[in-house]
Amino acid sequence: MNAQLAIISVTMRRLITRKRIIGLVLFASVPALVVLVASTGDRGPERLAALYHDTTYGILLAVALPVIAIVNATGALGDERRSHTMSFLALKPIPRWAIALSTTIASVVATLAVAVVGVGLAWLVAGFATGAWDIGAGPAVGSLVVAIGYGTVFVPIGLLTRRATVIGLIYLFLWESSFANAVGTLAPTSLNHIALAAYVDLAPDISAAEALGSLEPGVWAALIKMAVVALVSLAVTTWALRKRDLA
Amino acid sequence: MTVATATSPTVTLQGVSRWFGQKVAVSEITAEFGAGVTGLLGPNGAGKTTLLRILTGLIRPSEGAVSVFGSDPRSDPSVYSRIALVPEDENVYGFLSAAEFVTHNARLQKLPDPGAAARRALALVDLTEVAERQLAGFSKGMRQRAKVAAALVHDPEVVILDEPLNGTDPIQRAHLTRIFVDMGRQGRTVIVSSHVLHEVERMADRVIAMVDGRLAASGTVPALRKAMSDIPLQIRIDCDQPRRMAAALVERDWVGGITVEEGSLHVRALDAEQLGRALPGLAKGLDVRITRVDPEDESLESVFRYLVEGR
Repeated sequence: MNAQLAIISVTMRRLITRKRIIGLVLFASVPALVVLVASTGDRGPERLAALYHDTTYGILLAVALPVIAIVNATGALGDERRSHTMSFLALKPIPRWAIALSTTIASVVATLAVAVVGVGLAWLVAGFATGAWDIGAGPAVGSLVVAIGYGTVFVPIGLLTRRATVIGLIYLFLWESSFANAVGTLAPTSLNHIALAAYVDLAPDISAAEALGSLEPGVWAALIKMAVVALVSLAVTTWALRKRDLA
Repeated sequence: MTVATATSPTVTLQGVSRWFGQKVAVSEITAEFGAGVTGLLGPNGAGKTTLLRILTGLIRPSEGAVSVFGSDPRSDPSVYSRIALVPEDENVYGFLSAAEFVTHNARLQKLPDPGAAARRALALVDLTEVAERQLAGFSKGMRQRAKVAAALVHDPEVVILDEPLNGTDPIQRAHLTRIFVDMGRQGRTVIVSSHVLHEVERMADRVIAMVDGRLAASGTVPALRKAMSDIPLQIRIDCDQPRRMAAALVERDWVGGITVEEGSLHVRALDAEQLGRALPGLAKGLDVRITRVDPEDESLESVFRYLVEGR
């Protein structure tokens, strides 16, 4: 195992504790349970599909995954600083960009692990219930965009400020859920709306599509935007590791 | 104050200051560190930890420059393959076993056989038998030793230890002290901070004293001890005839002044050792019964403060 893999492995073990896994998996399983319960009634495939999309987007992509991603990302380097263990990571002959990249990958993968469980279970249940196995493509791509977006942006913020998680939650619940939802031209400033644009491209009928505002549906556009966001975040994290106090 | 080392320096600080808002934590420190053990001595809050963090590149100096093997660690991380820090904080990755923790550090040092290096380092600090136990269950002393093992796993040429004996029992303390002394003898640069003089005395060839963020004194341990014993100390003596005792003491040239109170006297001793030697004989000759003798300001802090302000 090389140094970068060692950092990814230890950071992920720090972020994904046993207690946290149980709680997150239960939370992420809610959409699957909702669709499972609904499928036992007399709803047709179309109504089940609509319910699946509403719960998967409304619970997983709009709330659960962003919150999990914010917690993981702000803790990836921020926890090292706050718990005074930064010296075990930073005082090593490893380029700062490599530390930034490894911890950011750990943050994104830790969020994706929860997404795979949540989206995968719901996909499985909805696939059996509706017979349409392509139904999960939108949530899968959407959760990838969410994990990359929030999972990278909040890594440098976690390193630079102690209140990163609060800042993240304010951004999520105030800026994105209120302002960006209400004012269509603000939608491009919302990571969640960019993820929604990818989702809607693959599942055009979901009710949340009306929140897109000035954004056009598009998977590739969303992925390219997130790649740019990730690169900028990596650059800021590398700069912070080089120039800011680490203890 | 400028402090130089006798050997060629591996670590140099040039006019280093650091302030946090209005508070000056480290002020204009110029020093050089070379082979052997150097003790960084000072009371809590003197700025030792801040200085060591600056020295390793964990925090930036507000002013001045740091050089380790000719490079600034903040801009050249490759220098970290030659140096190590044992931080003061007892936090470690509690979810890892001691073996995993030290192996992880070996991997980050890019060692060819991290497992073997970790086993060697754990054996050095006597943690082999508990190597598979999680660090979260370790005592403070055991964590301290795990941190030392992690720091030494890559055989560094410069070792910086921030209060490394905190929380260790006497046996562990003696063992760690021996390790640090041996490293100094091997020609490594070892910098050990402590607020306990006798702790530093056991391992350091040279001592740098810090107070209020400034360098207060430096030199060999005996020289510093001598400087400290030359400091006038306020001594309280409780006895049944304080006026009689005061009259006998005031004639002595090693007494700087006396204040008499009901049942006690406060002596400003210019040479505390002489006072200590003379007191029993005086009490016996004067038939005075002494019930208590206490230094009133002999804390390390007050001694250091004198070294800074009293000269």
